Amino acid sequence: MEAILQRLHSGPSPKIGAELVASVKLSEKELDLQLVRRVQGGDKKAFELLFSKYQRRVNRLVSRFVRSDEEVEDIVQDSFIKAYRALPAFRGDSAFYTWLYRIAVNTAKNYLVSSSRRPHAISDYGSTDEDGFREDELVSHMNTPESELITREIAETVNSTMSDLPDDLREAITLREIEGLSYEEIAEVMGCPIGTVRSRIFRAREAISEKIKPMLDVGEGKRW
Amino acid sequence: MVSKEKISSLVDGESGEEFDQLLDEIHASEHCREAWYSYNLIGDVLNKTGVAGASLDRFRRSLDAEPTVIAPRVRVKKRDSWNPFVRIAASISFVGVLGWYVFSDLSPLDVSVAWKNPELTSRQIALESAYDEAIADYLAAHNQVAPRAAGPGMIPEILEESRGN
Repeated sequence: MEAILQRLHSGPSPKIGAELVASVKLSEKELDLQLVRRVQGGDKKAFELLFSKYQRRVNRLVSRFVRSDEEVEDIVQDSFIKAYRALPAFRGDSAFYTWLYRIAVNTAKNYLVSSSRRPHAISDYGSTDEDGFREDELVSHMNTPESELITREIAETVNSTMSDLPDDLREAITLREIEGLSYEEIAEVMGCPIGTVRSRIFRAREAISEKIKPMLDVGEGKRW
Repeated sequence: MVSKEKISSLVDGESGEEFDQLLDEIHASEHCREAWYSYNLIGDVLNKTGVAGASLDRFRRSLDAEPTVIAPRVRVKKRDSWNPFVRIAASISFVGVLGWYVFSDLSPLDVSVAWKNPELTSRQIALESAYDEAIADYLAAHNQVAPRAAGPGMIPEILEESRGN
């Protein structure tokens, strides 16, 4: 993976950087906005897809305010329901996640106020970085030791399967998921057609997905 | 059934025009929803977002209990293709042309000719001046020979004949 990143940063395309990553984010924003428009048109299931997509990010965010797993779960659920109720007012001026982020932060703060408690680590959410990450959060906040074990296993399996992937698949999915490049940019970096990029990313995901599937089938019920 | 490769592209926002059709198929198929969930999960693990999430079952129950929200359709005001500056410029131009027409001796035809060919117009104005002088001479001569009674021209004679009848 290091080699891939090194190649990317010293690669043939000097324009790859913040400007291009911004274009990828725009694409993600558009995708979310299309889902939001569906929800605003009365399609509840489209909101489940947004929940499925963002629940882990919101979970991690809320876990900076409260430590109890049950409380985190409650606040995450509440945040999404509040977001759903407020969705008719969402105009799409900001990214959906930015909007959801504010709702989740306010929900968590209100929860702390109503329970007359201070957040466990003020400095954690004082940061403007929406996606600041602590390693110890990766495998936390599931309800039982069993599910915590499964969570840990999932993370380890994803990472180990990544290491076992053929180079071209690993490079494609790394450029997409970690570097945030679009298919067009990945095609340029890897020197192959966009269709090949699409196929490689899919095959990489499928290979990982097959490995983690048995772990997803157990636990607190269906996840999708 | 929709191919999982298309769902993979959708997760990346690279699905293109088939968005609505893809979503309908994801709604209809548990395998597709599983793929959507897994692919997003893999991304979150690789991005170190984490694995822990909330229960979709519980969320689904809560969501089902909610009344369906429907956003009012935003009526997009049809934008006038004439921007304000163009409108102001057009108004000034119109007033200018109108003023020129009203306060000048030139006919609209002259105006358009003058617009297109100023040289021709100055020659035309000179010819018209000469023509006006000739007319003035003719009228002066006519007045000298015309009867001095009630009116100029043929009208006095016509009146005389009508009295005779």
